Amino acid sequence: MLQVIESLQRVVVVTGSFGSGKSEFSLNLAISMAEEARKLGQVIALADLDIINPYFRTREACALLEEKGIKPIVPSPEVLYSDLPIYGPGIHNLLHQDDVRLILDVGGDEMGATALGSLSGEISNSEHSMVMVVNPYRPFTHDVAGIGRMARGIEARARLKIHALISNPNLGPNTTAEAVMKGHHIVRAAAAELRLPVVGLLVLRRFLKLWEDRLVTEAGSIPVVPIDIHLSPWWLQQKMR
Amino acid sequence: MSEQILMKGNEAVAEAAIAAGCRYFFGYPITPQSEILEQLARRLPEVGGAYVQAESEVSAINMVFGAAAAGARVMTASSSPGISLMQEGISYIASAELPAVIVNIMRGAPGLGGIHPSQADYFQSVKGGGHGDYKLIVLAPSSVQELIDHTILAFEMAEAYRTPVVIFGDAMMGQMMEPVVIPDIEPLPPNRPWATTGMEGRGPNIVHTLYLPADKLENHCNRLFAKYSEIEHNEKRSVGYLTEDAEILVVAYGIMSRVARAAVEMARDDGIKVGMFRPVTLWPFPDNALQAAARNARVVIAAEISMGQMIEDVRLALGNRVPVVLFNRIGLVPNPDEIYAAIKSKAREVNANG
Repeated sequence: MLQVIESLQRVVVVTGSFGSGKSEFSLNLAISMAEEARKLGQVIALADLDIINPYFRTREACALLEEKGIKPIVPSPEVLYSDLPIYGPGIHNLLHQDDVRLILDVGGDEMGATALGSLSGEISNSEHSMVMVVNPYRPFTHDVAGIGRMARGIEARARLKIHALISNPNLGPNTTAEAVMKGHHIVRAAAAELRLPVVGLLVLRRFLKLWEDRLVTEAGSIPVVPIDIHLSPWWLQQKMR
Repeated sequence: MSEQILMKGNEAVAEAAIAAGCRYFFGYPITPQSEILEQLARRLPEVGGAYVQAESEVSAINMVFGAAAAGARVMTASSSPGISLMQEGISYIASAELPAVIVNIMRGAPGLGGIHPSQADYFQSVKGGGHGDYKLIVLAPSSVQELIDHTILAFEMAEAYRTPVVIFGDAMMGQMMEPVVIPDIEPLPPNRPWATTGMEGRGPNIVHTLYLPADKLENHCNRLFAKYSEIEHNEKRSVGYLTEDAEILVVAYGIMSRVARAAVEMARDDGIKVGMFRPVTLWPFPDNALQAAARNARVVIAAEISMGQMIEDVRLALGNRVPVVLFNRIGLVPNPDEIYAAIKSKAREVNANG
């Protein structure tokens, strides 16, 4: 993950389709950043901008974030588990604080990216990277054309440009090394079409242990990043005995 | 599409409906099932169908009534309070013997409740809900793949028996993502000689639910219930897991069966003789299979996200032969550890009693 962090600016805007793995990536990114940040005297803040989907959101991991010394930016407790289009306070200030690394976890699809519209001016004026997480095993991003449509839709609504793709090819507990490689190939083809770099290939930590050599060879210069699942419960992540 | 993809429960229901040949959907948005509507609004026009967002759930269910009477393969979806609004129309559709599929992605209740996962609409759909003597087939899938398979099955059952079928999900099942395959099936177009499709070449077809003469109403109810007996005979479905030697039996459906299954595996690792029984049809309730699964049980735990509703059917099936206790949580899907603790505590009691 360190290589991914190095390729990103101070403010990281994480977008993607519904269920692409944005929030899990944002959490993993924040946790990795926090380990480095302590040494540098930086503050890491993770803002949940998901105004679309009221489940499996970053805000459910607040306790974990605080334990890791990360500042969660989420709505107040009374409306934390609501389906209201609101996000936490203080984002505007954090965008301009040079000692804060801010991650914005945006809601899914172009609908979710709408939340960025009101912030786009200020984000443009800060050192930022906008990434799109892509899982080519999700229905609307399963081919190069679909990924392109998603990217253009998100950019239009967010009024910001995507700088890089994060490749997250997986089938949950049914993921195989072949599925990762086949999916990653699609993401790379889409990135070439969009003239964007792929700055990381995400693989569940327990799978990466099994297939590390093959995947690292396949990924070439793209860093292969181990991911831990924080939002989906463990008993949904298991193959049935 | 026969390769694996990752889908959310709500998306899966929508795609499965299209695979099953459903071309008409009427609904009104409500969290946590709005993705079903959104996806069908996008997809139905692509396959020559129509999506209408009604002005309320009352309108939506009556549009379903009308479309089914006119011979369409039709579905609606909502969540608990919205399903309550639909009850009058559901009674009419059942009485008029029309095929229709109704999806309930249950949320916290009573009242406006909350948007949490819930299983508290069991009584409403399994025991009635609307007025009068009727039954609904109620299916309780427990994974995203089963949401797909049961949606297709629901259309088949609805047409075979000319009766509305309810599919139960909950807020978590609607939103969780799992690998699935959408089966590549070619459903036949609806074959409904009774439908109101225009009188060309035949006399009028009339779909109605009014029976003013007393004997006509009695005959109508008797005929409906003869059909329900046939459904009870043919369609009880369930899944048992490690029930053969089980001294403790956990009964759970839907998402709770996933939790219960993980808890049973944890307790089995401790050497506890525990199994799980999962009703797949909630009506007709699989009472015979439950009796067989519980034959060695010394205690039965009914696990539900409600204050205890399915437990009544478990007790009806098992009588006084074995104590049936409730494990329940409200407003969340518990962790397997909690059911595991309940199993451990019952195992100690069973051992203490020799």
